[in-house]
Amino acid sequence: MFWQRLSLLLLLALLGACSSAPKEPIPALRMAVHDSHSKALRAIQQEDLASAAEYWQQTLLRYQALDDWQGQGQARLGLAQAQHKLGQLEVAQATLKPLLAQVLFGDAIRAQAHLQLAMISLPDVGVAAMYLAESERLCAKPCALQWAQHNLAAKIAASKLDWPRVAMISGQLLATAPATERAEIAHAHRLQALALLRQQQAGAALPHIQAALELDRVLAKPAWLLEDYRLQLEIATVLRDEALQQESRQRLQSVCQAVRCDPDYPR
Amino acid sequence: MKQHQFLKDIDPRFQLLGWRVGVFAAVIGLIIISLIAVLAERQGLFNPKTRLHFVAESGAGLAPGLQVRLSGFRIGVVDEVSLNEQAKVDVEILVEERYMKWIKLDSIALLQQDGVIGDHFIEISGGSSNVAVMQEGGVLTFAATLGLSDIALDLRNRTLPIFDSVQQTFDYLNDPKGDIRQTLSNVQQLTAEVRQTREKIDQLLLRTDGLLDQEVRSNLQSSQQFLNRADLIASEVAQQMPSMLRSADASLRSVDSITQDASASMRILRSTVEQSAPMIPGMVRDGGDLLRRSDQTLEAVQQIWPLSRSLERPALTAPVVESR
Repeated sequence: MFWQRLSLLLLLALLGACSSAPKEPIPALRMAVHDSHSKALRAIQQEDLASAAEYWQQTLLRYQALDDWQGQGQARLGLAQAQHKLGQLEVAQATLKPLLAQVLFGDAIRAQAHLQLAMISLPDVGVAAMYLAESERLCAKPCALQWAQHNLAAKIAASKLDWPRVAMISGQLLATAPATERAEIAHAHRLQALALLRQQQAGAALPHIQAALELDRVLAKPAWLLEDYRLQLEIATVLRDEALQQESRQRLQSVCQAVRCDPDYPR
Repeated sequence: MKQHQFLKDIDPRFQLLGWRVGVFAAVIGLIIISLIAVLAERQGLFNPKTRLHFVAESGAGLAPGLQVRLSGFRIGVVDEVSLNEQAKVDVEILVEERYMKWIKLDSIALLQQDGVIGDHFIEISGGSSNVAVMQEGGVLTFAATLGLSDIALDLRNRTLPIFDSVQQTFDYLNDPKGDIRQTLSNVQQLTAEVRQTREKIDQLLLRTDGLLDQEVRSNLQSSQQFLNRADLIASEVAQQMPSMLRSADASLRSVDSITQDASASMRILRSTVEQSAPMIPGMVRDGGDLLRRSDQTLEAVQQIWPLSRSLERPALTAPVVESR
């Protein structure tokens, strides 16, 4: 009985020691902005793009009301990302443009804004390369965006059909990127496979596309899986591997049924 | 001597005849002089005048003594017309001084004519009000006006091309190989063909009439058969109708009862909504409040070790950018 009471007292003392002092009440607007920011992040992660755009818009207005430039910058980046994925390219560009010259947003946010603008304007390789160069200049070392920047540089080279350069950049990324950068590594594998295929090295391309597929399955991105299977089918056709062609077609069709697309034509 | 006696001034009517004639002549003379003076005054001979000058291209119609007018009023006279070294005509005019206030440096002299066959005169147009008055010896600008011959010449020059054009048009219309004549012959040919076509159509209509007659007869027979069949169907329907109506009546009763049930349900639903509607805003507020409190509670719980390690709130950052 005594030991039980003593242990209870000790537990209470321990809990008391671990607990922190009562927190100051958080202002309503601050709570609201935290709430909409979290919801926006969750929505864009879940690919619920319409809701994400709405939440980012709310978050942007609330950060503006709080005179929080860092928050505004983050909200603009998120809003532009949602708009880009919804296919509203000009609207996304308009959302990002205020970030380019305004130093109050900070270099990290401006670097990401330049990177996103480079991605939006990618069919125009000249403009994309210009924005990418500015993003690289603004990003402080070690740059958190460097892997995305590498892959974008490879994509720009691919648009120019400069396949040796694509292979070089993606190979460099695969050699140096940490394992946590799964999305960029998967992209680099795909770019490497594409570059090798275009250089008549279909045999060497196959392991890369399979590595990309493995990572994209983990990342659970149907659109990326579709891209990978289309490339794998192309490689299998060049290699005249009937079994792999059959498998690629079946998998492609299955994923396509789920996301409602035409397996023969990329969206 | 006798004759002298007869001529002797013994008749009282001839007494002082010389004086009488003299006085009469003097009075007549005075009257004539007064008349001349009055006329001269009327003509402005005694008014002081200002001499002006202009140069004309031709002296046609210009002569000394021509009237000079301003707004239709006589204000002076042409004094001298002479040919100068450049084969142009110098014209001197005298204008009464009292009218000079209307003659400005930009006034223009025009040669005009009273009617078609009337006398020529010089018309001076009043110049701009803000321009200075012309002084003695000033030079006016002369603008020649078109005479009848000039107008006739101008008219001739203008009308000749019209006549030429009309002539060409008539030539074109009369050309046997031209479009118009060809078109007319085509229209004639077309009319003849239309007439032939009409005759053929008449024949065709006659034949069609016969054919239609046959067709209508056969159609009438078909219609008769159709009506017979319809009569049979109608009698069949008439036999079936009572049972169908009974079934429909039963269905309508079912529908009616369903409608009554739905109406009762709607009444209950409405009363429920009416009762709960005032509570909804409060419930929403309470819900929001509850969410806020839950958030605060969650935040507080997250501060407590060891939960603070496993229940970390995600950092509020910008979304991760993916190059794909």
